[in-house]
Amino acid sequence: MALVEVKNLKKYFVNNDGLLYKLANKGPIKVKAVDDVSFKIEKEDTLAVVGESGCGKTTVARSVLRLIEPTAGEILYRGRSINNFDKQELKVFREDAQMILQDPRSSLNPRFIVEEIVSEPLYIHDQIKDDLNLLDRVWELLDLVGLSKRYSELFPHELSGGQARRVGIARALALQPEFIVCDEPTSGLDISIMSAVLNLMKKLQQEYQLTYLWISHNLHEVRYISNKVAVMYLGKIVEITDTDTIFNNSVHPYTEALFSSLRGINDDWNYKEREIIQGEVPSPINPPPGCSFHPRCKYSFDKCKKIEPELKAVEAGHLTACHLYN
Amino acid sequence: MPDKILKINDLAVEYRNKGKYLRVLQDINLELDSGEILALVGESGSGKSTLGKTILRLLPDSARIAEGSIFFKGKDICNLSEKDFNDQIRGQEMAMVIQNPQNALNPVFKVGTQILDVLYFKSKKQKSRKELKKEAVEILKKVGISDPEYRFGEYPHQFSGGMKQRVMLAMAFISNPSLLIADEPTTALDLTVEAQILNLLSNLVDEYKTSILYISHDLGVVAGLSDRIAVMYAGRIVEVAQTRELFDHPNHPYTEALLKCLPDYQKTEELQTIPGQVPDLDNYPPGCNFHPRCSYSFGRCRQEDPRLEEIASEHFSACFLNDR
Repeated sequence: MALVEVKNLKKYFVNNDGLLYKLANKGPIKVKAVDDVSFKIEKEDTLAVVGESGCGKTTVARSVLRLIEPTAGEILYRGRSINNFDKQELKVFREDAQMILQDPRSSLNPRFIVEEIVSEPLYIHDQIKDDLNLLDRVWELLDLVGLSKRYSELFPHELSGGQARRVGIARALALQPEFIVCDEPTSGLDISIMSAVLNLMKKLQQEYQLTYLWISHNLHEVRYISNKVAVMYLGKIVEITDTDTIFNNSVHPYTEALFSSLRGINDDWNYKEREIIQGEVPSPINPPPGCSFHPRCKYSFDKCKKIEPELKAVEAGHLTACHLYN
Repeated sequence: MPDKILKINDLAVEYRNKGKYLRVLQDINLELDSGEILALVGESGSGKSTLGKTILRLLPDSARIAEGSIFFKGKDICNLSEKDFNDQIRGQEMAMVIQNPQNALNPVFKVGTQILDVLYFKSKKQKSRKELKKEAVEILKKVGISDPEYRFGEYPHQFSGGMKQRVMLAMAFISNPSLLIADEPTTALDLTVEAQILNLLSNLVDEYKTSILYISHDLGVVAGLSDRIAVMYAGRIVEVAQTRELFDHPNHPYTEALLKCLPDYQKTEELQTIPGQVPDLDNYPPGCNFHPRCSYSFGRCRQEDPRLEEIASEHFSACFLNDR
């Protein structure tokens, strides 16, 4: 049984505020942030969700933890639907599933010292026996993420970006979770700090058998950290398979375009000669009919403009949503 | 030196902070050929943006050039009056594209109007804006804006990030500058859009023979764009070399460490990390700024400042290991 299973998740954001809109009687604006997404994450796997901004990565991440209520669809955790959890069950679920938020600094309470930040989950979930043990536990957690004891007395503004990120990781580990949603944990960090964070996350995964849902737009990092990749475009998964396949034998034209923009330091090509995909991601308020990628796709044909492709297997464990392969 | 567009000699820049001056740039020596793309890379706080601003004389009042000189086309631009610099160089011979296109365009004027302004001043106020409109639409078309006549009358908020950066490039190239300073122009953009902008930039450089100082922290981008790379660390240039040479044979320990900790999709080995942190501005270590984090450091590194020296043809590095 997969640890996490997402079935036909949909999240539409509806905006019908504003006097002018009401007067113009245009009806509510519907943004299909996530539109019919399904995937599974096996225990101890890392599924990376990649895509450009606005494709719905973060909305998926938040829905999986039920931080936002989905419009439709189901999320199963150990085979049980989290949508129907009552308050008590949800609290237990929150012990098992944690999140590392995107901005390292603004996700820490500026009025708390590090000790309070890291121990707060322990208070909320009544896991404190006595205060002496508590400080030991905080030190242990800080040690785990490579921070010395003295950091427990500092405020977030006294930390560098890399240190703040480590505190965020320590907080996520406090309740010994088994599933962590990481929302671009390395964005905004310098290269040397980013590599330290990646190494740490990998080490922690091996040590504690953690399962990650890793949101990212950095494909280099995805290659390093994940073993499964889902590529999203305009609220839909267009291709999902294991990391090696996506880097070597991807099939969807968008994946091809995205990965051909990828530039490593050992590649011998330059931006001048390279054929580059044109156009930009269309607005999710008014997505094109049929396959939402067809206006930018060089292989598109009539069917793409009318019928939306379904996610289907091209081989075992390799799914794509493209009419070329059906 | 007729072929050198830019020549920086022993430049040092200081910021005033609580009555004290802090050195943010030290011993900067750099040359730029015409038509060359030089990438300036380094981590945040290494001084790469400060160097870009120094060249365009956009530093705040609290900063001063403490030592050294900047020659642009053989002319010492540090000693030009502000008026002369503005009339002759800034916006004419030198242009800049900044990181965040959102902040670069004025939100209350139409995009077309803002382009017309640049053209109007370029024509020395001789032509009317009406006459110039055709030219402006032509420029929009050239940088790949579809339906330029319609887009001409739209406001910046109706443009996407990538389109705004295209407009910025268009405006920078209107005066056909000899030097363009590009400060991380693609950081805020998505991967496929970034590739489009860099493709456009490469083509514009070919056409106008402009030199570019490209400031970036993304080594992957730089690898596909630049002719040469200068690596900065804590206010100093530690290594300068041709792009391929730098990646294949890094000489300075910092460059070497940086390349080893860069996640790369072709790399399978464990990522390395650089121990310690970038030193604070007011607390630079004595000697080489990198020595506390350097695994090769020895006695001399703690006492003397290494200077950039040529270690191979067109490959400069500031490290005492090369003297041993």
